[in-house]
Amino acid sequence: MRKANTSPRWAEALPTAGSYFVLTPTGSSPAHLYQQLWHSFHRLDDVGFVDPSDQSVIPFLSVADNILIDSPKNDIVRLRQFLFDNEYTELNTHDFLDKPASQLNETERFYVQLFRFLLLKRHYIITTNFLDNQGIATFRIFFNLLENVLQATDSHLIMVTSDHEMVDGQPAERLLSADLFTQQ
Amino acid sequence: MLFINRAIASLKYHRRNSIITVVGMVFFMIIVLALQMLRQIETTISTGFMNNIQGFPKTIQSELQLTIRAMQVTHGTVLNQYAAYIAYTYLAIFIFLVVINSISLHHRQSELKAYSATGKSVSWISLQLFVEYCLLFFIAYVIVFVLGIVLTFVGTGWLRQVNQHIFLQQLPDVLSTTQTTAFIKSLFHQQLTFFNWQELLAGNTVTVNRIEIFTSGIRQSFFSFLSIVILAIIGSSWVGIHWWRFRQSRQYR
Repeated sequence: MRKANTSPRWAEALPTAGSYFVLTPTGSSPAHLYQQLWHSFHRLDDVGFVDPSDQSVIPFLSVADNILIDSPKNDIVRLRQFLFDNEYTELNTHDFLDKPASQLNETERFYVQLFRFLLLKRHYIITTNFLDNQGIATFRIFFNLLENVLQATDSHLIMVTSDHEMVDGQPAERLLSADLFTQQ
Repeated sequence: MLFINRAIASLKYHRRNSIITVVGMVFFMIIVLALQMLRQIETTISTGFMNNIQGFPKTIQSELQLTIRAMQVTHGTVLNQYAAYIAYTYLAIFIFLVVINSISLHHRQSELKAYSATGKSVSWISLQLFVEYCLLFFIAYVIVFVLGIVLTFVGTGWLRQVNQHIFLQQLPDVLSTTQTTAFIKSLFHQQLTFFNWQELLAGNTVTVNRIEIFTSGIRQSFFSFLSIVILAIIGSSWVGIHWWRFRQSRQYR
């Protein structure tokens, strides 16, 4: 599958790197919206899709080898250092990168896919509404952890969500309308 | 992680697929090796027959012209038969590898997704799969090499009997080893030979070099099988992954 090199038209609505939220329109499900986005943009070179229900791992390799296949070693060293510096309990810190991918749960698969696209320097990363079910406390920790990384890698994380609690208190420019993506 | 390390890890993880593939390869390779050894035996016997005939005076050779011609045709038919069986076996292993790789690809969709997500091309993924099957081929080849040595030292006599059986089935009734004409009787009565007519027709006048038929068979089968593995695995992977990606792109329509 040859990937297209052009940036999507909605890229102009995302001026700065960081996290963005797409609220699911009434009468539609987050899964349906995510599938619509996937179908419209999965061919674009600059867009990565994160869906932990989708296995997307090589079970016989470690997490480190899975994140970037044939990756430069220093990328993984930097990621290891990052996880070490940011004691994020969800990832069991030290041993997470050495864990066999066949033993990952859905949350860990989410991080594998996310780190993969961050290290690949994808400018636009679209996730399912996976974080809706994780509880607001987990989301806040994750969100704070990630914001600096997104700024550093100049990436835009676009999270499909139907959870109003998650978007409460977010700046207006971080909330995107589903129409922006679906009316191309 | 290198291609080869990934391939070894994959073979360990997909143990059942690896075992089935090696067993299948060994099965087909040993058949081809046995057929190639039969062809070598038949070629040796055919050449030996002509050498024995040339030991007779020219006048007798002229008298035996029709017999010689019939024998040559029969030897040619048997050799063609072996060549056809070898070609069918090559076709069978090609189909076997394509089927086993297609089933394996179906069960390894999460890997295909991971490779695709990291931007690996179809050719790159096909090459990765080829390295795995290439390692399985080398394992199968070592097993066949050992079995081939056993066949050479224990089974050459049996292979000669099989060849003789096939040859006699193709031989015209008039040249049956149990029948001898008055001319043949007088021929062997007049000329001193270390063989009789039955032994000459049955090819028992020739000594088969076991080591030579084994080495030439195993050498030929190595390159032929490697070519088939390359064609079957790279071809079926390339087509299979393109088809999988096409199906993926249409699944949310």
